[in-house]
Amino acid sequence: MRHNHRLAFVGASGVSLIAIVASYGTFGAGTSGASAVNGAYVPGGTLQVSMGSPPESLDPQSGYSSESQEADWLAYTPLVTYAHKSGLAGDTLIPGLATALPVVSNAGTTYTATLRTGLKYSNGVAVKASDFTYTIERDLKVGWGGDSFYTSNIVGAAAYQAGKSKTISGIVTNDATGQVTIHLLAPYGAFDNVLAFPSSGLVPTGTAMTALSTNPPPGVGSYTITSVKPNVSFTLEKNPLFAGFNIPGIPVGYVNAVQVTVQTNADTEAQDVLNNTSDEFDWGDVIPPAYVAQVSTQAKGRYTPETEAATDYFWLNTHIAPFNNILAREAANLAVSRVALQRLASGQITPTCYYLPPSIVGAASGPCPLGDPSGNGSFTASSLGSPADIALATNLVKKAGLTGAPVTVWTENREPFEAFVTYLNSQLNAIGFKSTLKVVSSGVFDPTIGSAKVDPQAGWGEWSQDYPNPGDFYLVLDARSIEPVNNLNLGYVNDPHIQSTIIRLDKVQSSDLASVASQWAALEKYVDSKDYQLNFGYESVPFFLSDRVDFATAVFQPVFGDDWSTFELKG
Amino acid sequence: MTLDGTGTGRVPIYEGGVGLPVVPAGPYTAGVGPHRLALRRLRHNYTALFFGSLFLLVVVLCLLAPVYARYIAHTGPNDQHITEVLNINGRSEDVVSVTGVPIGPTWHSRFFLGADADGRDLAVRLLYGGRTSLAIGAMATAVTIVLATILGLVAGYYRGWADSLISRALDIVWAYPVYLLAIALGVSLATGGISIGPIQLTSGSIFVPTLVIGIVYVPYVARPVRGEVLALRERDFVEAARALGTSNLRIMVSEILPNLTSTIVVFVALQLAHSIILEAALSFLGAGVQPPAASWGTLLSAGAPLFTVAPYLTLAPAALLVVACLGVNIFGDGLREALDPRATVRAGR
Repeated sequence: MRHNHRLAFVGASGVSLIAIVASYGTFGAGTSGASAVNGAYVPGGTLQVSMGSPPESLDPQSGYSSESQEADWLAYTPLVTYAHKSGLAGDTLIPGLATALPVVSNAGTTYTATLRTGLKYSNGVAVKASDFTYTIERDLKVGWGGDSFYTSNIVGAAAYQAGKSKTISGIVTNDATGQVTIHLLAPYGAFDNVLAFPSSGLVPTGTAMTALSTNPPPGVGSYTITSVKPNVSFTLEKNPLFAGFNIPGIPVGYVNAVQVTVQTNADTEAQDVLNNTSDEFDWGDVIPPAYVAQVSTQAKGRYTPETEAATDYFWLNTHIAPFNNILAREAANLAVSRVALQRLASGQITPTCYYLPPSIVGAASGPCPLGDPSGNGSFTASSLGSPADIALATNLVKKAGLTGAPVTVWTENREPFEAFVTYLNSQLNAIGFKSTLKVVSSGVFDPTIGSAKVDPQAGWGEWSQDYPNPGDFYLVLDARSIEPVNNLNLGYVNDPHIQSTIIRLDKVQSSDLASVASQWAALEKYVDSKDYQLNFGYESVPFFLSDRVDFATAVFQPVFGDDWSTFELKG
Repeated sequence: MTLDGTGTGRVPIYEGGVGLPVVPAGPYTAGVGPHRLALRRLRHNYTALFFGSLFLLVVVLCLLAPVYARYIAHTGPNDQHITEVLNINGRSEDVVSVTGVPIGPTWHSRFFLGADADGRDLAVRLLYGGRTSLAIGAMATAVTIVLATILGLVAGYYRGWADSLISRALDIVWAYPVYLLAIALGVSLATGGISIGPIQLTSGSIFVPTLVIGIVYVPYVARPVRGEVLALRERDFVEAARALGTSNLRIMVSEILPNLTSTIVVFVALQLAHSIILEAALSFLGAGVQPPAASWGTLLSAGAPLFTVAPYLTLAPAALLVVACLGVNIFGDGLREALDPRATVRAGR
């Protein structure tokens, strides 16, 4: 998922200062109700959740951000879904509305699944197999952000989106038997992960083909989304019908309701959870440096950093100067200290030179081509012959004849991203480039840098998994992702070796990924040797809850984050 | 009231009567020009002089920023030392800790006031930031004064449709709260820059906030100037010039403008303080000076989230901002009093 916009500590404003001061007045104030009682954990109650950034839409066929998906995956269960478990176990696919995981046939081009019987939407309407076709059609009509997952894989999906057909010819359903058959254009090993997107979560046939952001459609899930006030708040109310479906592995939920409030000030957010006036710190935010020590001491037993499959990197535009020159890219890589960047992220990233996070099959290990990333920037650089990173980088820039070459580095105006790029800008200037920092408002950052007209030279990027598969991460290095607008491949990397490898490995079924792990790892080493992008950190995210929540049983789900259906409150 | 004719005696303003204050006699004012008289008054306003000196001290310190950076702190304003370890009194300390908290004041040449969250020397950035803030303040004031004086002169002198046109245009600007207008303009221009014919300003240019600040304050100066011109144009010396066939432009420049000097001088001082504060506000909100350039506003903005663990990041720029603005404001007040012909004459030698 491109640029997880939730990793931020926002508080750089007078409002934050006021909020800090004001929040001191609420110390020890606790929420009304359950939190005051030091009893056992019991089902019921209302979970108070802070969300750092608002979801762009809670309609499952419209919302693509992690904020949207965190809520939607509890309200819109697809044919397959992920286990409600922490750690690597949470990456496992389990049957959702289907009776079993899809059967793959015809050399990986046909997926067949059968709906469970007796399923009903939250409004009481019975679920039909043909609703699946309608749901995918709605994804394409409403314009879901990841619609290319469908159009580039399902037979007839692109034609439907282009208005050339009335339905998606590659999806065949039988309402009588509940069977759903999907024909693919070519084998795509991660297609079962595509089926697990909340956007594949079924909605009734006839639902409006427009984004229902303020009044999301009915779905099949443990909760239903209600009372949506865009950019302010929304509620998840328990779906009384869901318990009757007895779907194994999908909890029916403990709390009666989840009240989600957008709180863009990370200082206030942290203070609220410390004071138990909010039950959850948004895992997409970074705990501000001012609160790191306080959280570690005051919130022992209810805070832990969780590893997220997400990597921070600087993309370097390889089709224009100066980063079309490998020496310039090597110089940039040498000039940047991963440890410095780790500190700019309040210690909440793990230094790296590789792209694939450790939890993803194919993640590379062993020494980085440029040395140890945790070496304070002093790479051993054995392959390049000098341990002096800045001096060596400067020489490389000179050798390339690029001293004084202008570079503009791009970032959005949120921390720690702005700090990351400010640092990159400083280091590029230190090694001889004439670098300028360009700060763009968060709301327009992605469209701006993704425009071919802007054609930016370098900047901050982050990829967090859409699904646990190396192919998902390699979308940003896939030449097919280069687009005139909403470009994903910001480095404009078009390397025949990468292309042929991706196309070959993308065909491998998720269940067989381990068999090609070494090939993905080899690709990682190859990409690193070409310095196509400057990878610098694997993200860890805060799993930080109030005293009211049973921390021992609460799940941090690696794909969707905090799993509210596993949160139980004190009675 | 008596004048002794020597120019050195004291002039009693009030004499004798019960209930009336007796003011010590001042020096002779006969034959002394208004500007010299003002200077005499100002010389005896110690409060104004003290605060004026304070402002001057801040200006000098900021002008010396490159010297401080090069010879004392040994680092530039944008140089980051995130992973550097300092030896402070035999103790090793990270410039930025592993959890992202910067080092506090060392009271040594390096990182005298500590570091910011990006590992940059706060004292160096404070001085460089001061240069930026003061430069923007001064240039914006110049823009305001020049534009306002021209508009006020033309409107007040010509009256009629010219006055109506200019006054209504000023009213439109006036109708918007100055901060809201500045933020709106600042946000749109700070990211996109300005491109109007030959005027090409990139988004990071300090001339963008300069122009924004300069323009939004124009009505606040132009209207009083216009009022004064309306009065001046009816005076005998203007009538005389007109009778002699002097052109309108010449009357405005040679006859009216010199009589506006006192007003303009006072506005310059007061406007400078306003401009510096508005720059700080805009930069604080991200609509003024763009990173990584420093200004007092950007420093305040960067320090605010760390207030509980590193209050000096906020307090240091705030203190300089207060000192500079208070200094120039109180000095401006003193100047106004000194230039006011109706002010109590207490001019000494």
